[in-house]
Order: sequence, then C-alpha cells, then structure tokens
Amino acid sequence: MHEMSLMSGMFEIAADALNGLPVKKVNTITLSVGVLSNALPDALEYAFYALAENTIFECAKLIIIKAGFTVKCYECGSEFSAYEFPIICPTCLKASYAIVGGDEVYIESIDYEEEKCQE
Amino acid sequence: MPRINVNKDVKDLNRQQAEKNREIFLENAVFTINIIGSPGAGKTTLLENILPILAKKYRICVIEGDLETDNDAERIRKANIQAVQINTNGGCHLDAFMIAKELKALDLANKDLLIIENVGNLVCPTGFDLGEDMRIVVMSIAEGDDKPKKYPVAVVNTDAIVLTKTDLLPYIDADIEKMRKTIFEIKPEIKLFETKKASSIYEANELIAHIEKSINTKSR
Repeated sequence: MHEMSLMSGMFEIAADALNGLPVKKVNTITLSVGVLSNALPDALEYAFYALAENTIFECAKLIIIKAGFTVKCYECGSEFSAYEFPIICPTCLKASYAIVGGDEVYIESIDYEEEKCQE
Repeated sequence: MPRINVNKDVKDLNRQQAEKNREIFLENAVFTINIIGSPGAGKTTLLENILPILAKKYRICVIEGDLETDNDAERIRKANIQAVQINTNGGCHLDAFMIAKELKALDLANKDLLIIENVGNLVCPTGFDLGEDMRIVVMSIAEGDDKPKKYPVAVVNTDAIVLTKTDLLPYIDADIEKMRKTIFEIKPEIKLFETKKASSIYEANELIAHIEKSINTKSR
C-alpha cells in the first residue's frame, strides 16, 4: 500500500497549489499515473477518499489517467511509447533502449469552486 | 469553474530528499546500495555472507527496514557490523525521508559503504529512490521462474539482480534459463548474478567483485 503515502504527498502538493486562492470546495483532481509507478488506480482511489475526509477535498472527485512510458532506442535514436515488456524498437527492431519516465504520479490539474466575496 | 494547472509529480517529494541524501553520501565518500526483494528471497542471508568479506576492505554500516522486530539488524550485528533498524509499523517500503533520519547515527564520515536492506516487498520499494549509488534486486529461484515477468518494474529500476538459492534447482520446477532470458528481455544492460550454498559455503564471488569494482570506480 505505498499508494497511501503517495496520496498523502499528493494532498500536500495540492494544498500548496491552492494556498492563497479563494477556494470554497475542490471538485476534481486529475492525476496522470505512469504504468511503471506500480501505483494501482483502485488503491489510489481508496487512499484518496480516506485521506480527503474532513478537508477541502472531501467532496472532490479523483480522475486517473493511465500513462505509458517513453522509450529511447540506443541503436537508431528514435523515441516511441510502450505499455509493456519486452520492448522492441518499431523502427530498427533492436532491443537496446533507455526508458524515459513512466513512473510518475503526476498532478495535472485541480478544478475548484470559488468562495464568493461578501461585501 | 476555475482550474489550476499543477503539473507536479508527487514522487518529486521523495526524489528531492533522495538527492539530498545522495549529496551527503558523496560528501562523506560513502558508496550506498539499496537491496530490494520479496520476503524470504534471501536478502539478509546474502548480507550475512558477503559483508564479512567486504568488511576486510571497507568500513560498513547497514540500515535494516522491516515492518516489525529488529531481528535482521541483530543478525548483521553478529557479524560485527554496525546496523540500525527502521520499523515501518506496517509501511511497505522505505523512503528517502526515513533514511535521512538515520544518517546521523551512522557516523558516515568514518564509513565507506552503506547497505540499506529494504522492507521485504517486490513492488512498493521499487518506486522510491533513497539516494543510493546502486540498486540490487534479490530474487530466489524458489519464488518461481515467472517472477521477472510478473514484476517488470523491479527489473527495470535496478542495476543488478541476484538470483539466490540456485542449489535448489534439482528439487523444484523452476527454469532458470527462462528467468535469465526474461530479465535480459526487460533490461538488456542489467548485471545478473547467481548465488548458492554449496557444501555449506555461500558462493557469491562475482557479486562481491562487482560491488568492489563499483565502489572503486566511484571513489576515483
């Protein structure tokens, strides 16, 4: 369950991003989760709703976008996307590569409702 | 409805601390190894066997990660090597912050090698950089020859794999050739080592030589 610690880091960053904004409530948080992150969407969701309780995130919805990973071929230098192993370069058919990213748990955006000014 | 674009990786929190740890290791000229593997793969046994040999050349300290008990730290101390124990109380992995807390107690200025034995788990620890110079995944052949294929992230995110308990091959249904092949399919440049206990002697000479070579390359 490392999803729990990832999610508590997520809330830390999200709260930071919203700091100083007139937020009444948060509606959605959109995460992009790489397939190499070993973070399961179900477990992330569970952690999200458990940790959101009694915070401004309480009624928010979590949207998870599954992201693949980018591969750079050592042989021909081309870049391509992959989702699983084994990896073979579609251009030169060699299997000699570096994996660039794909392990991220990335907060893309937060949608929120504004606190109305009271004059 | 207002939207704020955050564009931040949650893993950066750990990554930034890992970089700080890496700087501390560099300042103190300490080579650090993070050892990852399932419970029972043979991580502590590997250390019990290779550390006394490495200790002839290097000043070593060990951080042991476990959910409960300090059994593993005790096993390492029996070999006269300094060991501290982190109990995660249910947590499935070590992170860079937990390591940072332990560093003061280790007297790194007078050490050459720090070994971190992660919590027994082939999934969660693979996503957390601790600031190490080298990562070693320990897999026993008794776990089954499909494990590299089932846990590709563990293979991708490591420098070396040690296949342990190869002396059990005659007694179990595991195809070690298949394991080797899958590992190289996932990560062609990986270093692969095999260990066994033959007539009560633990054989890990190639692994020890590789660790020594890596330490010497860094300190040069």
